[in-house]
Amino acid sequence: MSQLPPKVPQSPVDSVRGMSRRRFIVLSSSAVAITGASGVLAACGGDEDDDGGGGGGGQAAAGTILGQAYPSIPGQIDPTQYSGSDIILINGNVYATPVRFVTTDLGRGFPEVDIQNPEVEPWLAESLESSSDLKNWKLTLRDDVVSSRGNPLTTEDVRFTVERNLAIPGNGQIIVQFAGVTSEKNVKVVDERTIEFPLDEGNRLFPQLMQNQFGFGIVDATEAKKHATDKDPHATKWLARNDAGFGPYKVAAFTPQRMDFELNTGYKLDKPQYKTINWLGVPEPGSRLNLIQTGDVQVINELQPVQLEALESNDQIELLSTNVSAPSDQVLFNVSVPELRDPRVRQALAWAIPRQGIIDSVYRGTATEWKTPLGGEEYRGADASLNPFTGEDPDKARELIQAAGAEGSKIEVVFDTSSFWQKEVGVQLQSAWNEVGLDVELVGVAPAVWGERLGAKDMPVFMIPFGWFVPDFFYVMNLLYNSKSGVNSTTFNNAEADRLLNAGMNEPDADKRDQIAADFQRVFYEDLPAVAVAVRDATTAIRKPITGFTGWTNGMVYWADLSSESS
Amino acid sequence: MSRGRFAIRRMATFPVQILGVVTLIFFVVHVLPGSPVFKQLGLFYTPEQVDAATEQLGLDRPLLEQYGDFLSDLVRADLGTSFVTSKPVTEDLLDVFPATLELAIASLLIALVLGGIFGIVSGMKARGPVAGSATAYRLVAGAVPEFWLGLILVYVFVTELGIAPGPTGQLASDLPPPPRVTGMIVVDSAIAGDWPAFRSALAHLALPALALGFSIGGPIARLLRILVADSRHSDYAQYGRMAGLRRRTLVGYGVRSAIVPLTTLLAVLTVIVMSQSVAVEIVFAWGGLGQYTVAAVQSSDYAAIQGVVLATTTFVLFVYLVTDLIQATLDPRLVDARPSGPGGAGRVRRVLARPSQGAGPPPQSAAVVSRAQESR
Amino acid sequence: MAGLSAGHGAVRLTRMRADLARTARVNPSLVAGGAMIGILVFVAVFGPLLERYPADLPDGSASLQPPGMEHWFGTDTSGFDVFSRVVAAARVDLFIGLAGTLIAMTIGGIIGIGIAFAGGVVDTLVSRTADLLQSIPMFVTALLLVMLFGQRVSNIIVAITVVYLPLYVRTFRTETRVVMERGFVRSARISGASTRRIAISHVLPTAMPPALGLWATSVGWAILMATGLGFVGAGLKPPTAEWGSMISGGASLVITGQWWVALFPGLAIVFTVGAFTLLSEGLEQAFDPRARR
Repeated sequence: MSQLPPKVPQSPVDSVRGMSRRRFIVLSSSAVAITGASGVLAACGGDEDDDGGGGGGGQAAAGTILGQAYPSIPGQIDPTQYSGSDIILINGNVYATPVRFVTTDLGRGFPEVDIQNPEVEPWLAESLESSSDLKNWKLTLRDDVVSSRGNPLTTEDVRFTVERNLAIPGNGQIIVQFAGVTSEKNVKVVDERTIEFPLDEGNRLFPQLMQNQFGFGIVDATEAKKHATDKDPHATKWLARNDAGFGPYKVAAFTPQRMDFELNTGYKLDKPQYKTINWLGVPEPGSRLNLIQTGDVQVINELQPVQLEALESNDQIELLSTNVSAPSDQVLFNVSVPELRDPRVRQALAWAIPRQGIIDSVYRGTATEWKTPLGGEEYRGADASLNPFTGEDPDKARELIQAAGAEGSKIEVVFDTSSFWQKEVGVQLQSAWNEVGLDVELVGVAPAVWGERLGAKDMPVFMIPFGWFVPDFFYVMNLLYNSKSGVNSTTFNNAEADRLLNAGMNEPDADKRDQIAADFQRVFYEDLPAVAVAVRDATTAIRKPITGFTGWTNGMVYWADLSSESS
Repeated sequence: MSRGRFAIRRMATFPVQILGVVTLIFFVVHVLPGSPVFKQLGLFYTPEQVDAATEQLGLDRPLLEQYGDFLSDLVRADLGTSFVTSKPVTEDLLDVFPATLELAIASLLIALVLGGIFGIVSGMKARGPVAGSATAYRLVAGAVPEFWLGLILVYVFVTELGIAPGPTGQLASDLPPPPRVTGMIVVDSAIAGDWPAFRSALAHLALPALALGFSIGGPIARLLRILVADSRHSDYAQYGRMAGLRRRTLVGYGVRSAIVPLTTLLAVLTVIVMSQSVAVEIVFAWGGLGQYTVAAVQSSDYAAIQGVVLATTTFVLFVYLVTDLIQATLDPRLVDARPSGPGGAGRVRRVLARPSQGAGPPPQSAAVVSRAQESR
Repeated sequence: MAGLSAGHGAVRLTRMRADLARTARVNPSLVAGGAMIGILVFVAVFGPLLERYPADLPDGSASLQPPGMEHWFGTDTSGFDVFSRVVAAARVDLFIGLAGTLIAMTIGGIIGIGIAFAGGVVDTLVSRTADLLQSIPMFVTALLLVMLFGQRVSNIIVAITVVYLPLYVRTFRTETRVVMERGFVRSARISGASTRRIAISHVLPTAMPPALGLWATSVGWAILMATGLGFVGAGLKPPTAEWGSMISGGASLVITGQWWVALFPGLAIVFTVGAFTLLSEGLEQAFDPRARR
């Protein structure tokens, strides 16, 4: 008996294809679905954000939330440590100082510090007085200030802050020492509201240094001491991640991507409109631009020239520029390096800088040539007429190099890879300096390595963006070029310059100071330790209708300043 | 060897491998130029401040002493403190790892779909326009740098069309993040029922996942093409058809034989995606492990670098461990894994071993695969 | 006589053309890949002639011009002509990819064959170390090495070599063991052949085909890795033209609309890596007749 053969299968190829065909259909439709879904979701989310442009911007305009985007989030928030430019913008809002600068409208439509005649007014303090020889200072505190942790302000907080600075290496220590407070004997607590500073010498810059947040951002000692240990008596570990200040804002959240701030209800000195601040860390400049265009954030400071251009035509956004911090981008020469020892070589380098090319390409025409050792002419005493290096003169550069016998010298130009302008400027410098007979190598280093080399003072030619807290010619010049200064990164050592710098630092009479400044500048241009490639304005972009932008020397945006007409 | 013994042996090598890698990295890392001290001190400081800070951070002690401390901390799950973020590295890793994981999972899903379709199609039909586009996809997918693709997507969908959110991380900036459960915002917002955040998170995930998934789909397509073509033409399939086996049985055999290489491939790809996401994370400011790694390396952040290598290597080795165990369960023959034969095995191995930005398959898995192929 | 050889010549030419046509039909990947690589070689060799503007002399006044008659691919922030730099970068990236993988293959081959012959502890030790090395994400390894040793072409090549070495070691070791298992080695030794001779005459012929296939693909991946390093800032010193760092420079410009700075280097990468992928697929097919398209 034969059974019927089993059902004959379709041709082998068909059966396989058939199976796959069904699978294919299922899979392809799911693929279409997924891709389509992603697109739709992206769009939905995108619309959400764009509506937020009206919504987000509207929310901020009417009310109480402000968004600011910056390239980075600080790694730590200890008020004495400068760990990046982001920390300035944040700690200024969290840690208030006893005094701050007076601001007036100098004609640009918003208040600015008058850097030709800077004055301070009390902030956390009620008054700051001095003896006529500027040696003895007396600070009287207000009695209505409460920290974000609920503790009232007393002189113990001030003393603790200063003691911290004396003990912990950092920017704060430099400021405090510059202010003449070099040891405990320069600090004397009188009572709960009065504290005196008997300095070793008269210091005309004391009040201006006292507005510096690194040196004198007052820490809530009561709170800090709770977190101190034997090995860490100043609560360094805790303060690296936690705030305890008397300023208008306190830290509500601190993650690697964003920080959120809330109003310090104990701060009664102004009535800030914005109760919540969202600070976003966005490393890509294009993304930051996008955020302000859509209205997700309302304030951006770090903008590249290309982006400023893109924003100029945007009538939702206002671009505010100020030069009170004397911003300039400088090229510095390490005078100890053999190839750079001869001043003629450095002068040649200065003559060969392709200023116009740099201004056109790197700054898109928004910067100007340098005028003084500071960069621009903003600070009193800086005199552009003394500057012989105007324009470019490659021929003169070549002559000088030949005169110095430096043809074919190897010059290393080092730049910080995290800085876009340093790299671009470096590229231009390299080709221009090669043209006049040198052999230039351009080296990019990571920020940490750059910092090490700066400290080791072994970068032959390097760049730094300048911006100053204290608008004083001699403060800046001493910091940079006094041979005794620990932060003299060019190793500049000129006896005559030292003499003039010391004299000018302590000279109380402004006119006499101007005279000394002029003499110093002459020496400077002869022995040229540095050259500014470009002088630019510091521009902040703010969405309308927010007002209140103020030009502070540290480039700060104090959130308490800002407000908007309710819509 | 029994499966049990195999499993135990395999699991025992795991910690040894990790220790080896970590030690290697510790010593390498401490040779890196650039002291993390300077990130703290900022622009202007004195040599005395530098010395003081170095001492404070413990960087001036002899290397072996630092290594000893490192090991003893490791046992207590203390990876040190990051100089960049001032937080414990463990905390940092817990912060950033889920973000990368979220991106990796989404990319793999997209890759599976894209690679699946194109691979199966080109396996089915050797010629024709459909197969041609599949070939083109395979080619382009493997050749495209993901970070560049991400930029192109940003240009098209954000700048020009304006329909996607800007490349600013995982969530719209004015939305508060949902309460943290897994650290993956899409999941957390779903758990919390926070639908605006959910939509926003998905929208932000779309472009980076597409950028990554597009290129990861390449190897998947390649493998599936081979597997499908092989199974069509293999002896057993033809014989089976000849003998009148039902379609479903054949499919079953085909699927069973595909699982092992597919599992290995997925393991490899998971690993690849975890590290290849670095550049994409930078483009989209994702805030994941990749971004953290780059920042750590550039700042000579010793503790963070060690932590990152430990975390990713542990993850890699864990994935392979699980894969080996799964495969051993599925096919006991694989327990006696030995180096492969030529030809087919080698082919699959090469397809699998795309070590461009990740680790290649370890000998165990590769041998497993080749052994599986050999026995066809 | 002359007529005969002329006839032969004609036949040979026809035969060659027919061969080529057949290869193109049977193994299009090989032909396409070969053609693309030919273009790359041409660009690399004749690069300097193709560069209309110097690739390393900036021109501040021509910053950020869109593509046009003067600058085919536009210019970047410093005023460099993007086309010229793409061409110049080809030399750099190709060199890095080729050198790195070739060195890795050579050293990996020596080590792999050597430990397979040696067996025992040496084999285990080296294999385990290779695995260990491969467990670390390759990009991180490369990044660390470049940051450690400095950003020079030689160091990037070293990084790529280190990263790909384990793979080659394993491939050669495996293939050697295959040959060993087949008993050739034993019998060759019995007949008195030296190890070196065994390696060359028995192992290499078996090992080279898969190794070459692997090599072709790994060139592509090495180029992707090198450009990835350039993108995150661990590449060559500026103003060296390199595709990855060019894309990095163009990244932030994308959102303000200057798309050309980032686009063209990326296309170049796709073309190059695609060429090597095609070549490797073609080689695979040529060497392994069992593989079907």
